[in-house]
Amino acid sequence: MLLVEEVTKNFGKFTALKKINIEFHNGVYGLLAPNGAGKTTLIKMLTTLLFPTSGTIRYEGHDIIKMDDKYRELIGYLPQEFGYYKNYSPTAYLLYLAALKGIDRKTAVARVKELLKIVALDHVATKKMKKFSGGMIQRVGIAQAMLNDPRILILDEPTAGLDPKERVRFRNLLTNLARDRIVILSTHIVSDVESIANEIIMIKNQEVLYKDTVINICRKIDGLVYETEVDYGDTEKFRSTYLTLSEKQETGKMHMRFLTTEDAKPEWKTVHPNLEDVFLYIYQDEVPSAGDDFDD
Amino acid sequence: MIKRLEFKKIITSPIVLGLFLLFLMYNLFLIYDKTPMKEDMNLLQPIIKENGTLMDADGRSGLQSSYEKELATWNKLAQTKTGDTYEAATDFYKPEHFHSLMEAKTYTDKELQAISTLALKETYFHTIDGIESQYNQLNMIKSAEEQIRVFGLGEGVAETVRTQYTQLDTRVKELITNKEHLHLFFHGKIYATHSFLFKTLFQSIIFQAMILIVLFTAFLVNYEFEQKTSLVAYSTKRGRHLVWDKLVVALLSSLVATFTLLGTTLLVYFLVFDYSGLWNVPISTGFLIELNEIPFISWWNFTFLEYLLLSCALLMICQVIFALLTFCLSMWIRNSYIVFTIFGVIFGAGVLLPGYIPKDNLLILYTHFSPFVLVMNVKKWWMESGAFTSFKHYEVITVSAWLIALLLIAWFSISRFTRENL
Amino acid sequence: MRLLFEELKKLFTVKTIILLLLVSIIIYQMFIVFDFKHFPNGRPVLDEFLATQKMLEDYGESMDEDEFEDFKSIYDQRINEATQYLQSQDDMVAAGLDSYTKFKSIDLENEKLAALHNKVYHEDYVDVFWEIPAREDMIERYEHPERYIQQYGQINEKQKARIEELMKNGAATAIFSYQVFENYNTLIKNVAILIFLSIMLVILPLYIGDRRNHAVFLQYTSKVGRTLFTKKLLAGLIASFIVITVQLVCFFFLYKGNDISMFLPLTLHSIYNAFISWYDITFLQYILLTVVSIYLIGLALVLVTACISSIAPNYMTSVGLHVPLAFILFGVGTTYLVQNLTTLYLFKYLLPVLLAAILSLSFILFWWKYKREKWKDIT
Repeated sequence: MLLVEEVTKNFGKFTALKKINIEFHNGVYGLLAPNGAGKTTLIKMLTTLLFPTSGTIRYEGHDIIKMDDKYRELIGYLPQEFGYYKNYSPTAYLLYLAALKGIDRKTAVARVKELLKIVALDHVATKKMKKFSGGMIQRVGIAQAMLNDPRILILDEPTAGLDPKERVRFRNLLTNLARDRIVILSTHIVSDVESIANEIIMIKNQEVLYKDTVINICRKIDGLVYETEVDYGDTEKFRSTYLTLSEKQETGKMHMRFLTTEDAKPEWKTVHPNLEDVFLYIYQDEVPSAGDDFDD
Repeated sequence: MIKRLEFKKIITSPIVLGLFLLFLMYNLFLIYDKTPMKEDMNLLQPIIKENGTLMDADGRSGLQSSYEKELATWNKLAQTKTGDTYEAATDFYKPEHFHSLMEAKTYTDKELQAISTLALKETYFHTIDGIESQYNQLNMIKSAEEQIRVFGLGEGVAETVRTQYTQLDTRVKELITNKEHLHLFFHGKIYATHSFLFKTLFQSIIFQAMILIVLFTAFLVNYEFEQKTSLVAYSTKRGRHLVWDKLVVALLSSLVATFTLLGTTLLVYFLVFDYSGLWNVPISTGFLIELNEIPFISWWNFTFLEYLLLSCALLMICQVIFALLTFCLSMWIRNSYIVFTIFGVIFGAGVLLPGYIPKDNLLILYTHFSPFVLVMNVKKWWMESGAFTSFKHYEVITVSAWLIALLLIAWFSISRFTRENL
Repeated sequence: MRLLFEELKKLFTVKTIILLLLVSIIIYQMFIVFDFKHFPNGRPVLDEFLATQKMLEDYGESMDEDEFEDFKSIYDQRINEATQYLQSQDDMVAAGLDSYTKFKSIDLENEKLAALHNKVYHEDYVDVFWEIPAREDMIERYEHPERYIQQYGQINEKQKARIEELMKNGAATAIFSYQVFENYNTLIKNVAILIFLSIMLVILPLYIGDRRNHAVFLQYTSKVGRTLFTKKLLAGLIASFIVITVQLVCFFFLYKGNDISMFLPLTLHSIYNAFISWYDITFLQYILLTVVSIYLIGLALVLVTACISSIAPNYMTSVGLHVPLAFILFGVGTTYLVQNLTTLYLFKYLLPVLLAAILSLSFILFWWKYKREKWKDIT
């Protein structure tokens, strides 16, 4: 069990996270928030790259900072942007990281081979990464995170650069892995986590807003989401009146999905809210500003 | 707008600013180190005011009479003090009696100042004869033959050297007719101002500016690649034309940096050392000759001021060449620290190259036409400068050829870059 | 161990090795080869060197009174040879120059005689005529050991005592060659500069590379974690140890060509040398001292360069910060820490004190950076 207790993180005068409390058990956790909301800050604290200004993070009751290498031995981490060496082959690169992770060479060689197969890079195992596409690099990153068979797998925007087929494969992989470990997935792509996350964590105003299953979170706006059809001419007015969640053209009219607390009108059709609706609803007033990505 | 932002990347980087100030401080220290001779140098000013700078028959007799008058005055004083008379003012400093005179405090400070001024005037006066005979004996053809022998130059090369020195010989005759060599200037053998200004100061400014320029040019060109924003930056509207902006900014910044460094250093230099009355003295004057007895034979009749300004201009152009070279290197090598090192290697190789060419191959002359060889010899720009570089248009040819070549390479690099897969 | 090897591999890439080679070639050609090619430089310096070599062969480490008599007799012999040579030359005899004494007192203002003089020395390069003044000078120095003291000018009591002690202990008769010493001094300074430059080239990317391409995210979250910082330093130290050693081996291999091995076991203190040390050391010991000094400065340099590499935000800043460092190190640094070590001119314990100060300062600097790195937020 990984426990985040009363954790606050300040950067100078700026507070990135305020008195956060989260409990992680085995399973997939989707960390969902817009860019700059403090996702990366939380993840970097879970990976010991940042130190909490106050509060502690414990694994099985021990402070992860005091555990030091005993803790880092347990984690696998895929940062948004990770350094790879252009002139290395994925094999050489993974062997280097295996050395960093303290895996003995013989085990490492076998493991690297196995992982490259899993991420479907075995055909380019000895090619220099210079010529790799973004998706291929990302798969190397996923492979390295799993090198040490981690108890805690922390992935920051892991599906960036993956094509739809790869995404599906990747999700299945995670579901499998999560049976006996903690998988924390940070993303702002809702569909990535909707189907596989056991729990979703949403952060707003430097605090944890929700930590619950997808169904429970969606229930918060049950009965507030509708769909209706609007004439083209009226779309502008409609948009400014209601929070539109999605819109699509259909047979000469606009098909609108929207959220409102007003009483339903007859032409509105009540629908089941999904996670994306919640996301849009919660963060509707957040305007991204320049200072937001300070911790990327 | 883009250019201004690019320019800002350089200006706001503390290391460029820090190094700039450090270099400037070093130059000021060099000048400060020389300030003690300032008082002595200034003694030339009254002499010029009295007699002008040209020491032809008229000027010389004027100087002589004023010198003799002052010597007589001094001897009268010496007579009353010690009963001595001096044949020459410098005799006063003969160690036999100078130390006892000083200990006895026979003369007041003011009187000592007077004799010192007089001794200096005497030195200037006596130097004229030496200069005149030295220039009358100057034989450029002989000098060429001597160098051909010493360097063991083959026939083809020797012929070219002879042609150049024959031209120089004509120039020497013209110089003597113009009496360019007979102008008073700070005594080279005592103060060596030419070497200090054009070797010590110019040389260090050249290297300092070069370091700055190579650093920021390489940084600027590869900024996007090092910041990993290249994909964004080069896919914008301005896109890969951004490199052109970078080139322009690198060149302009190089000029600005060099100009400021050079300008400030020279400003301080000329504030410390008073050159008034000397700006229009020909640069080929024999008074500049330093302890190595080698006269400065400029290809044209330049005044000191003209020479100074031309040299400043040439120095700036050289820095443009270095900026261009760095730019070209940076277009191919994406790591600024490797660019810096490679630049150093190229510079060294450029200086060394002529040494490896057989002495009978004309290439030995052509390889001297490089900015690297050029900047190693600032002191002799626009002048006779030894067998390999004494061409009337050596400086102009060197910089124009390299400018054109590097511009072409830069253009080629950029057009390659616009088609490169990123 | 494996990690260390991996980090070393990252320092010695093909690119780096090519750069090192290029830089070494340039520096050798510009500053070092000259002192190999032109040793001993010119005449009669060459003749003096040869005479010293012969002296060593004939008399051993020092020259006592009897041996000096022998040395003088060789000189007389050479004069005879010179006379014989002159007598064998018709033009010399014709000009009345039939003995060395007459030749020596030639009136150089006389153009004809000056031409003959020039012919012997600069056209025919008659060895014996070069050898005689060389030997003359050596005899004079032996006969006037007091000049050895005088050349030091103004000295304090301690320095004076040291010189007197040396004179008592045989410096007056010991054999050495100032050319050998000066040649080595010039060479080792330039070699040291090349070594320090090479270290900078290799160590400069140590931290900055991984930091800039965000490899630290993975490195610091792995089991090794932030201890990688010291592991990298160790790799840097090993790398520079390799660089120093390879450079020194190359240099001494070339230096062997100077053929000075017979000077190695000799004491530096001789009237034929212009250098006095505070310590009784032989030439070989002196060489070892310079080598030790270079290794120690190299160590300090790695620490400083590593610090710069871990602080500088980009390569420009990193290179820029090395500029003043190089300026100081190559100039003042080599003058006091590689050249003329333990010279009588300077404070007796200057070398150990300076080295200790430099090392501890760079250690403190690095330690401070290491402490900070341990608790730094990696953003």
